[in-house]
Amino acid sequence: MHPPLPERRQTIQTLHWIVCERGQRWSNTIRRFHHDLVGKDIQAKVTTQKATSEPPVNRPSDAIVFLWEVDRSNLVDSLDHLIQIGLSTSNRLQLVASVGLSSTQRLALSELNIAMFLQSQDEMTRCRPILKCYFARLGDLVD
Amino acid sequence: MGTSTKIRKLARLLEHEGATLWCIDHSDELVFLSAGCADWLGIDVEDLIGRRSKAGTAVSGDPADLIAASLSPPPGFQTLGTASLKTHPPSFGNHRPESREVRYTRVGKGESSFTIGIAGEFRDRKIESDIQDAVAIRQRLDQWRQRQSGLGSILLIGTSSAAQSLQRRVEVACSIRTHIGLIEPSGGGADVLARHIHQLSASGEPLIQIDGPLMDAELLDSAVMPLLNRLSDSESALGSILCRQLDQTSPATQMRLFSLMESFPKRLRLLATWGSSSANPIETAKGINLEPSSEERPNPICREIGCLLETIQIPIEKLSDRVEDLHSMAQALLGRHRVTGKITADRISRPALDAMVNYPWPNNLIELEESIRFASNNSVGEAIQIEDLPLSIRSYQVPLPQNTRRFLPLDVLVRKYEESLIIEAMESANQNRAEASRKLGISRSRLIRKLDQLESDAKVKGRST
Repeated sequence: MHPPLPERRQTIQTLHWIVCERGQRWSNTIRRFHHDLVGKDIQAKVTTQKATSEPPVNRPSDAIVFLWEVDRSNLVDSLDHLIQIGLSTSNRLQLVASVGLSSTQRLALSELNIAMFLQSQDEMTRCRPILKCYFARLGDLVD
Repeated sequence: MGTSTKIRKLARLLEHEGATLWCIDHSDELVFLSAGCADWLGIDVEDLIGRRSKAGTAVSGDPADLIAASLSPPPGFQTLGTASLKTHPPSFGNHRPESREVRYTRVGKGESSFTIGIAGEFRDRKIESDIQDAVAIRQRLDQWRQRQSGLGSILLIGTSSAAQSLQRRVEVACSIRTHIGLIEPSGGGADVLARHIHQLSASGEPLIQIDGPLMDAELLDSAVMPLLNRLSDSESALGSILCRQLDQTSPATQMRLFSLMESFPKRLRLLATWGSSSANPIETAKGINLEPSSEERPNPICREIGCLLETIQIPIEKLSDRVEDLHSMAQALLGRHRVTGKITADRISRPALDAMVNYPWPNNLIELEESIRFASNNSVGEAIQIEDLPLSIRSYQVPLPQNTRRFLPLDVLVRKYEESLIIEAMESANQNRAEASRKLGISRSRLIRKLDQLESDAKVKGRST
């Protein structure tokens, strides 16, 4: 029997939102709903970048949620990045805001471990249980 | 007069929109060009009226003739009556016209027929880009599946009894299309093994992956909706759902999952993973395991789902219990990373391998994969050295086996030995204290004191426990 390894749990104080979109639509939505989603103890750090740019590399212990705005024009590029994130980092949450995708295209994305598909901003509040479980998985409960 | 007015209206509309439209009569001469053509071609359209516009005929060196010929429909148009062509008009002076998609259609028959050509962007051409996108998506998904499947196959490497058992079970699971349960320790790689099985048994079938703990019934519906639509649209369509951490999934979500399975029997397949740290949740749900602590388990798998999954269950052993397979698995993972071409190391040094063997691998396959990736990125030589490994592995020290008796104080040991001798003497003397004292060679009063001491020690010990 091996002794338990040293505890590596730490309190999560910041949730990094990496929003890959063309405008500000979803980043504004996140700023609006962040505290409703994860409580007031956790700060939001929202980084907006173009959907085609490379995601930044972060420490494995960071709580990071990617939100990709995907439509027909950037579907293939987004697919590359979703796969890249899925392969390189095991414990990241990925959300997809899909605009005008066909059922077949959504089905293709569903295979890549997307936590949730969002159609409109008001659906953001439905992410709450997902984020709660995500935090629990990282080692700390949100509330 | 009325007709003339309408034609002028049409010309004004075309001019207003900047449309590039022209007409060719039955004798292949240009009879009309909209004002937009002048902007596009860089030539006064009046200069083109009456010029011949037919593919495959001799053309003079006059630039206007060359431009007029470039506006002709392609060969074969006379037969079909409709055509599409990407047109590249020649330069006129300093003006270089851009290439444009052109649609041709013939109106009427015989000598009264004429051809309309219109240049612009057409939605029907989008179909091709959609097909290209679909092909690109297919390619990427295939690459993703192969990579995931490849990682799953790492679990099957090795010659240990655990590896052989796993290989046999996976072989059976791949041979039939049925619901499958995979039981894993933390980070055991059950989901990648499930993908591997899916790839081998039903590679063309769509697979939706869901994280059970993240789902409620409503979110589940939303997540699997594209697959359900596909199954509803076609009676022959098949699909699979990979549900991770089924034992952490709420009962309501499990029931919803079961009702979905019932809606498409034999067409919708469930691949589910759950943790091996607790007792078999399926047996718990069925009431077979009635240990008192079972009530503490979060969400045993509901009976209905349990029945689906009990046909084939594949347990995955801990990596620390497959030490003899570790080298082969690590080497295979290194080989996967070497494919990228950015890594120089092609083997693992003996000290590094020793450190890996000693490490308990609490996160199993996933931790091994991450560690090999980390080490191969750090390595600069031909072999991964111990200093290339993550700190948690190279700094891990196997704890020495604890032998507390060796370090007990001498007085304690003597007292224990004395106690055992006294008990032995009392038993052999039928609890007769006088005889026991004679056997031990001490006075009866001394023996009584020691017995009193033993009794009081035993009481103290009993209270403390």
